[in-house]
Amino acid sequence: MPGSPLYAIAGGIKLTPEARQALIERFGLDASIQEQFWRYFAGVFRGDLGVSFYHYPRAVTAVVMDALPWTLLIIGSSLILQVIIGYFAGVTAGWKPGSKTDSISQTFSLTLLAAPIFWLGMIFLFVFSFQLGWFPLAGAQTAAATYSSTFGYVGDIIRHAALPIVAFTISRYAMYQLVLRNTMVTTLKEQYILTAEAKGLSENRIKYRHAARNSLLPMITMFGVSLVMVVGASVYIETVFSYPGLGLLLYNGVLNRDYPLVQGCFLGFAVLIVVANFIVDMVYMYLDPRIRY
Amino acid sequence: MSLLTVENLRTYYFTERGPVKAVDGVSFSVDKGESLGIAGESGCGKSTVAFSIMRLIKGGRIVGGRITLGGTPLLNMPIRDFRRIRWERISLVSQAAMGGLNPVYRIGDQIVEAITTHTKSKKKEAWKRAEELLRQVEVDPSRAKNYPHELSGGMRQRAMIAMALALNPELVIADEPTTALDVVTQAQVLKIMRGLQRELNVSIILISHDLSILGQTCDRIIIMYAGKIVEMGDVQALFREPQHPYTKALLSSFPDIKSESRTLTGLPGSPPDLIDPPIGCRFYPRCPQVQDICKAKEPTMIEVVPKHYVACHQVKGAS
Amino acid sequence: MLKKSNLIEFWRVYKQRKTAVFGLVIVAVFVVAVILAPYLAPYDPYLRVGARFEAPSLEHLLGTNDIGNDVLSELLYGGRISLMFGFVAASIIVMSGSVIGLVSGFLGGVVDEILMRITDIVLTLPRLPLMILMAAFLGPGIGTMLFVYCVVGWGTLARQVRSQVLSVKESTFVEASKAMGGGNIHIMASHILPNIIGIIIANAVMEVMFAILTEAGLSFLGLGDPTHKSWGVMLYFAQRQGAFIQQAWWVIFPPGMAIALIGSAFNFIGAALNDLFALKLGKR
Repeated sequence: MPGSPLYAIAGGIKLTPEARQALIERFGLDASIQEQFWRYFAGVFRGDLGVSFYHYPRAVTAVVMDALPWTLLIIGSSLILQVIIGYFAGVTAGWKPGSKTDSISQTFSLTLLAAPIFWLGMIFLFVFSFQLGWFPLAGAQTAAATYSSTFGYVGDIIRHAALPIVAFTISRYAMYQLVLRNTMVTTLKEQYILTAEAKGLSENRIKYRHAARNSLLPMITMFGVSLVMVVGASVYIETVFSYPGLGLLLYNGVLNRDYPLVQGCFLGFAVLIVVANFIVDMVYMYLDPRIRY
Repeated sequence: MSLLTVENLRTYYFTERGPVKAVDGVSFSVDKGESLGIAGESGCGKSTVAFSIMRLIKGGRIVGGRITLGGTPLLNMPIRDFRRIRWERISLVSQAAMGGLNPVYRIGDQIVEAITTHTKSKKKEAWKRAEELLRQVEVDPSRAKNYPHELSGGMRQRAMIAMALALNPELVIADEPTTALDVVTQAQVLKIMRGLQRELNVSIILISHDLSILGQTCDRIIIMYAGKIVEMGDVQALFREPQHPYTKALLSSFPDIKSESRTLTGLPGSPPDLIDPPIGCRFYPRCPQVQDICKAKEPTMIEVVPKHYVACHQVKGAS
Repeated sequence: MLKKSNLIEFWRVYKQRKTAVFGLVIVAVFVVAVILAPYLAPYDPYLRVGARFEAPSLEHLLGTNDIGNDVLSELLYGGRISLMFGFVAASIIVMSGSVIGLVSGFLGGVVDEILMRITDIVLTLPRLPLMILMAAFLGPGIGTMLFVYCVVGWGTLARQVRSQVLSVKESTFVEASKAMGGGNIHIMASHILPNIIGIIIANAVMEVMFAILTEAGLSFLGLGDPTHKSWGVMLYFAQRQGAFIQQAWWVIFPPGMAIALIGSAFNFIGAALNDLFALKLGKR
């Protein structure tokens, strides 16, 4: 990789030959590439991801673990909200396709999805934090604050997390709405919907327990597929709101040429995505009895 | 005693090009415990009649006529009340093969749903009832725990029948229930249907394009063409002495394994466009016995022989 | 396929969707506006023509930014960069993705396996971090952004084209091979190509939108070129240079609004095209 690690570590200061040698030995940069790779690999299993260049001497694992929960909080909560809101919006729109509600919500959704995530974040930040002062301007918690109770602490966290979550949710929920709506239209043509109606079931029951229930699968699939984009989203959201999550860490890490940290962030995201995919698979199996083993 | 009467039913579907007059003046009745078949080619309106009775028309509307069940008029009833009629008094058996059963719920659950929606039964009782129903259609009750895809085609169809009988309805409408099944399974399902119908004294309206199964299973039969009834009567009499040219053509297009070999005759042409049907008898473009009057005036339904009705200018009425 | 009668019929159905027509109009307006930027823009966007963060006034319809440039002019000239990036990037992606999808689906076998493996990898890796990483080495700028975007972005289109090719192959191959043994290749070309054009065009429209969005995002993160201010770069400066504290909403809203507007225009067009082509295929 271009940009010598030494340069990054040293932070641009000119190094004496002795200092150079010491640093090389300290970071094991004298070993062959294979050696370095294996050492890293072995380290991962022990939970040792190396030491951050920029945040020296803090270990990468520590830095990453500081940031990861915050990303999990805002991105995780938002994803759940996106699915829920998208679900209800999609079912409502899909139940009466071609109606005014449907056309308007389609148009609205397509417009919303065209807006850049970070820009929506900026708008929320501007209006609600700067102009109205209802929410804090940055960070995940108020620095150096003491709280009278856990309640106060939780409240503070929520105040900081609220806008990023809302911004991300509004930005992306329409994806799920659109998929669900289209699937509903197809599902409603199925014979069992007619049977359900003939059984004298109430409209809501048919809508949710029969139509929506059978329309969930493509939405879940889309969820799984779009998990990859979560990394990008977290970079944008955390940058706008100065929220100390994994995305911001990754972004700064790249700018600072902090390779071990960058690798650590990638690993962190990878773990999150793998776990999320696993959960999605479980949900999928639960939803579709035809694929049980 | 008439259970169901249909008077001058007209149901149209509304398309971009105009209203499709799928059912245009159909009248008949069904007695208690009677099995009535409705036959005709695709698009003749037989399914539309069935769905009109249950008010399940999509993309269209019942524009005229009266339907009464045991004296109660059905068409103007508010939908909330009509939902109580659905399944409690009239139920539907559609093609299980075409997705009549919801694939994500167990068979038992779907039957239970019908029961708990309409009665105050608890889930446990309803489940027991579901198992008993399955037993009646000769399906092992333990299969109630299975999903539709885990059952064979014949079993699924029988499960649908079981579900239709769950609330002891007075009338069951079966829309092409055996069309997608192989002949052996078909026979089995029909036998069960016939047996249950007699045992429970349920009225059945059986819809099919297959005259042979209607012949086996029904007491009376209606032949429909292009949204109208052309002939109606006792099934044996009608098959032995068909009056309407269309009925004759239909019957002669079915091979009979017992009779000596003969050439099968098909019918030339195709059914009329129902957005703009021909004036006069709708069958006249394809009728081998067509006369001038057929092109000008629509034939009325006359009783040729007691209980045997025909709508054709060429048939002399009983005096 | 491109016969006049087909096009007329196509337009007739397309016209029915009001949003689709609206989308087309918006795109046309934008394109014309940015082409005519030198005539429409009141000032040179790189010249200091006012005080910092002047609120909108008659002199500066959208106010000025942090160093006194006229925002409206920035918007018009910036549109050139954003839109051009969008069209160029989309073209590259459409061409490379289509070729890969076509080759993969058409040839099948080992070639298909290999190409699909590569596509899978490209699709499963998180795009933004990769782009940021690559850009860090290559240095900021429009060329870099174009390069990194095209490297990571061809996967979906390749997949789509390939599956379309496969479904056409299934449907006509059997007939074709029975009817004319030796003319297979020719028939494939004359059957497959017309059928994938639809999906390519529909996707191409969406790709333009994605490209514009991504360029905005990358520029916002600082990977753009400050000497060629695109809408994303405008937002970058808005974030960095204290527009928030100064309550300068006129620097924050317009660039994003422009992106959202033209983005939704493309969305409407793309959605309409998707429906239309699905209908056409359904009619077969």
